[in-house]
Amino acid sequence: MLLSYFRTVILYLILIGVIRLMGKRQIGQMEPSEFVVTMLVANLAAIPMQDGGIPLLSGLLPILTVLGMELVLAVLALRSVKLRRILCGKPVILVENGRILQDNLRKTSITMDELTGHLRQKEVLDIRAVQYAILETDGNLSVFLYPKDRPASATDAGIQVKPQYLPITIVEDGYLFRENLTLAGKDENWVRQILHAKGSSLENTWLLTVDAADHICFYAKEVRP
Amino acid sequence: MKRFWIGICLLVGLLAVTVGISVHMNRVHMPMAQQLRQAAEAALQEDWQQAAVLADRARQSWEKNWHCTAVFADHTPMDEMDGLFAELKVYGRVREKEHFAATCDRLAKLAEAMADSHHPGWWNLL
Repeated sequence: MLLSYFRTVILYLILIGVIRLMGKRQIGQMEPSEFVVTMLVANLAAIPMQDGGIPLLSGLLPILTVLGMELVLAVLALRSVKLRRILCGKPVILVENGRILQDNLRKTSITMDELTGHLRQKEVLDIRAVQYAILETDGNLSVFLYPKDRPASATDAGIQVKPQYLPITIVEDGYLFRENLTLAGKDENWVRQILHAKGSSLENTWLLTVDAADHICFYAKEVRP
Repeated sequence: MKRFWIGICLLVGLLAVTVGISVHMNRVHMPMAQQLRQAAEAALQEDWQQAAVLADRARQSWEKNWHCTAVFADHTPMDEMDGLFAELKVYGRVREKEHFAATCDRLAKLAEAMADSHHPGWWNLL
């Protein structure tokens, strides 16, 4: 068990190093340490699950060790920029003012095909329109077009738009969310009135939402044939 | 910060538990291995009374700690040891000294290996 503990600590740190060396392409929406935890925990849980001859503790102990390491390192990384750089790396600029930074592409092992593929996913066909393309620490590519090439926003066009509010779910599948009712500043009487006006009851309501501007969205439950 | 301290407590707690397990495994299995080696020696000198007492002590220690060991150790060598202890009883009854001594030595080796598998030496870590 003590061996298991030390082996987990060593493997955890080595795996983070390996993932960091493999480059950002391998990660995809996760920081290296998160990726390592996800990868390790899944495999560690599978071993005692499959083999009845192995004590459950020999699977649990490394999982808890990984959890402990992750909790400690996450806080330390939050407080130390240096450690954050070591664990997560730093964002790398791949395109600057329409110019591809070939050195950075080589450093991050990103091919031109991958770069153009990422840009196409962001609906960018012309690299010259890109002011900045930044490879983030989680492997995603952030793309910023030149202001002249960006789609015009309502502010750019000088159009007055209606404010948008977050709808709050009041009833879902016949269940009344009382805490959301308070949040929306309504009461059960209001729900009864609305449902009465819609010719429905609480049990027959699939979804009822309301936003700060009192816009109501109502769906009745479909009757099964 | 709460998560940090949870992590620290978890790591320190786990380290303490695993050190405890390692010490316990050593304390249980090393004296047992020694008793079995002495039993083998006694059997080869045809001192069957002494051999039976030592082998019985080792078996009792094994049985007493069986559940605790099963929680921490791989079950395959444990099953093998259970079988060998059963064989040892028969060899002692029929006074087969070579087989008795060989089984004692094998059991001692397995007990030492069980203790060693929890020892944090570099050979085990790598």
